[in-house]
Amino acid sequence: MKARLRAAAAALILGGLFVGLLAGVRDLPPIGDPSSPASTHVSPRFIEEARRETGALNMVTAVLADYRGYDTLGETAVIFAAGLGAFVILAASIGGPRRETPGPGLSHRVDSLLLDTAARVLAPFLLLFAVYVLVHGHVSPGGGFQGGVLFGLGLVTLRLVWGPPRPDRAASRFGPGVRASFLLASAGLLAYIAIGIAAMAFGGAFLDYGVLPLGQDPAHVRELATLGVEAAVFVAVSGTVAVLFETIAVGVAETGRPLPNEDPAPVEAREEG
Amino acid sequence: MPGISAVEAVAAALLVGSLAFILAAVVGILRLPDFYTRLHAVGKCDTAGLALATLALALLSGDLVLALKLAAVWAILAVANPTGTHALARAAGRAGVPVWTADGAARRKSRRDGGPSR
Repeated sequence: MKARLRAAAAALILGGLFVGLLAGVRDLPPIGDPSSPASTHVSPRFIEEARRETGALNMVTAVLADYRGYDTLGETAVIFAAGLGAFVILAASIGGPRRETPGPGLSHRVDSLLLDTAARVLAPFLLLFAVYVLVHGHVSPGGGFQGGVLFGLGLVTLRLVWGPPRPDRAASRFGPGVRASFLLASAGLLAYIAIGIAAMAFGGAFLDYGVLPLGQDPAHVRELATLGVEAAVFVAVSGTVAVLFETIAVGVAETGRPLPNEDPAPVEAREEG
Repeated sequence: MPGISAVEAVAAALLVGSLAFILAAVVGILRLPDFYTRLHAVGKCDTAGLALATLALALLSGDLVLALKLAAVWAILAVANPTGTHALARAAGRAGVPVWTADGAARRKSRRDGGPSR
């Protein structure tokens, strides 16, 4: 009964939100309307001034991480919340507290020379390229979100092949684990907020990077702060990717069919089922 | 041939060869009988087809840096694609995905044709 009441309340809130948003859509100008305020005021301003004001050659980065930094902070929080949500839902469906070391499913090193070698060859390039995408986001397509996903997938690649961190080993071979992944994701989000608050401390508005004492040229200061924000997004996103993977890996290990790493099943015998 | 340089002709031939490999992979996925044989078709033919395609594009690019980037794409594919195939086949083998055999297929066929009595 209580669960049904909760579900009804959730449905009511979501339904109300949906109707309210739908009603708001009616007042928006049509998408791409050349006479809308966005096309007559905002876009020309960004196109004409972005390079001079923010120092970013890539205007998308200037808009994303500077002009609309508040919006991007929200997006980063949404991604973090998505990771948290996946963790909570999977943890609830599995039941019980999470273990740092999963069961048989993804618990040990994959015993395959081929996979091990390929991971060793590919992962360094993947991780390095992720950082390149982050740093080069100023002048070319890229940035914290894209780089963060790549970095997270690099971590997942290594984690898949080398197994999870092991408490019985002083220095684990590899892998952030659920807890450390959460710390990483939170640290990225908090760093973003910290940059915003730092701007307030130096007399500007929240996320108003220009006032930060990083140099004489305000455009250069905003450029540096933009890089800082992108790096924070990078850390948050890669941490969230790792959280998602670790959560699923633990779930597979605890509830899924174990994949025995020894004695492959005699497949011929099973063929006729 | 008028209007086509030697480089373009070679690139076109390479692209046709690439398409032939990819077509073989498609036919393999649609026609082969089980997971392993289908994987076998895709793993090999995709890698070869993409190698020929990147080579053709590198020839057409006319730019050393771009050609090197395409070479890097090919190198990563050449490592990643067979490795992925290996990982999939290995996981399937350990999870007990059945292997197609001519005997097994024949038994199933005779069972179908012979009705429920067996």
